[in-house]
Amino acid sequence: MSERKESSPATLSQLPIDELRSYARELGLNVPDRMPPADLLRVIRQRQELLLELDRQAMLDVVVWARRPVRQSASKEQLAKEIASIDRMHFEGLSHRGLVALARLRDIEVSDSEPDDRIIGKLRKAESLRHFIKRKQRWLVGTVLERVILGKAEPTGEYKFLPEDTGGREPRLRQEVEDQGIVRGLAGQLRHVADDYIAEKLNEIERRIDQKLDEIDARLAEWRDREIANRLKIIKITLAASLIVALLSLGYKYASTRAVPDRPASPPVQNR
Amino acid sequence: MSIDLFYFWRWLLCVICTIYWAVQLGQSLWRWYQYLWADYRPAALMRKYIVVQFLRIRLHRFTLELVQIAVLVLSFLAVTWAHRYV
Repeated sequence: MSERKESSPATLSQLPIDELRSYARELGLNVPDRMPPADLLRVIRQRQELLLELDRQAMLDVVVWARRPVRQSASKEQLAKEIASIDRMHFEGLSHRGLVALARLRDIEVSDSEPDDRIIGKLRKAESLRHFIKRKQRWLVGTVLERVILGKAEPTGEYKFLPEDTGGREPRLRQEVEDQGIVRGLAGQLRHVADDYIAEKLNEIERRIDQKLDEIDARLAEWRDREIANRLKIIKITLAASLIVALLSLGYKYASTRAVPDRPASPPVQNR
Repeated sequence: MSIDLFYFWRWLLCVICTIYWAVQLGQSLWRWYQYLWADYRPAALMRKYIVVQFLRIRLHRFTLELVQIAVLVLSFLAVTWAHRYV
């Protein structure tokens, strides 16, 4: 799908409106639902032009700073999509060029010569209140969860890129025989076939285990919901009982005040 | 000295229920704490799993029950408040 989307502008204009919209959002563009296709195309092309202008190394700096898993050979478009999902607002450890790239990808006008503080100020100013509240809320939940689950924060190691997808096949038989002789070449080929078979079987077993775990998880979730419903039912019964007692008490108080007439005022104490 | 039996019963019920509730809740919380915060791997796993399960609760599934509870609580408070004016 990404290959189709990274196609030429001619094919871009042939995309249906919903795909065009989701593509724009993946690139980090803030597009409303009712934006006409022509405008969508225009903003996407502007973003593509911006990507051409941006330094790839600067974009890699942003991704490394945010510790997003990417390959070092990732295209600018893949990097832009990854950067679009970064909400982080603490910019410690981000290089100047990365900061400029991040600001420009967030549609903020900055120049290369601007100092870091100013760019950070612009980035903070551009953040909406809703986004700010949501980020703080996530920070709070994250802090609590970290304390509950981990106890204390673990130090983060050095960033490492994902391994490159070589896409290479195993050496062909002719090449192996040429390199290592007939027996070793054949043995090597057999080993590759056996490895492939075992890898396939292991994948199948892993898939089955995952499926089973999902089933267990679904059952547990069902049990949890049933349990919550039961607890709520008990609370309801308790409250209903309390309400009945309160009503009885109210009725009793009412009846007792009506049944026992007010006492007459005590006679004044006579002076002896 | 005259004791109103109804008021005495109400007071006794209130005291017994509150003590029972506090003891039960305390015991239950203490047992869960001992089980989940034990210093071994299965407990840590279980703790994480329970947190995940809690986070995955969707309250809208229990909207009706929660509304009923809210109505009952409000009614209870209203009846308690009405005691002042009788």
